[in-house]
Amino acid sequence: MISIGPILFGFILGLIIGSQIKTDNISDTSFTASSYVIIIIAALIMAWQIGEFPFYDYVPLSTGFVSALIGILLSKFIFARSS
Amino acid sequence: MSQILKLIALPISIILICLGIMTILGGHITPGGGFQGGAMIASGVILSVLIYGIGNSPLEFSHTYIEIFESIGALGFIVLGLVGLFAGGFFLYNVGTDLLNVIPASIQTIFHYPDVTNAGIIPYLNIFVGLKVFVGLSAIVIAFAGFKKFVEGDVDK
Repeated sequence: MISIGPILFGFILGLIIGSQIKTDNISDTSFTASSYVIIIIAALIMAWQIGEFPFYDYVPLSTGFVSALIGILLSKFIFARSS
Repeated sequence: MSQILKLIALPISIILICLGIMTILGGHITPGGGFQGGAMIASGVILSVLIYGIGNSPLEFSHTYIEIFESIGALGFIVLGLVGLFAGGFFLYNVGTDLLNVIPASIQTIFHYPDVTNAGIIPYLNIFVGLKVFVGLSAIVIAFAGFKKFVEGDVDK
């Protein structure tokens, strides 16, 4: 059974924080699409190693962690704009 | 800062933020909770501000953003407390769990956190506290970094 709580609220918190990630501000270094692929792979490995945190579903991933990552990246690509 | 640090700081910040959110969401049944998770999220922001500098950091919050989410965190906590006071008779009474059987079922359903534990409003309180702590700690560091830049500007003159 999958609990809706951590998925929903992880996604919402991710949306709130991801909207402020503005990579255009960075000088000397550029973050391309491949950088985000690496971040996603690293985060998925972490979520898999964390396991069923916080212990109330049978998915072998930390659902809160993964939904937070999805929220951050979605919000970064949709809402984040450099001033 | 070196190129390697600039390349690795943002991915680590994003993963730290995910870990912080996960800690907040597991606060009602595991060690951790709102404060710890909020501090972990803030540590991601702090790492980014330290490595890239205050003007160039990808994770930098405006005054309005800080103001809004600091207020939402504090107000949300108080509102949940007042719901407990008016519906159950005690400030911060857990209306989602309702141990004393004094809350109507409709109100109890609204404040029941959707997972298999019967936690009631505790996860919501964790989320509000986490939001407030994350924005508060980030604001302190962003302000300190801004002061440092200000002082260095004075020395240059």
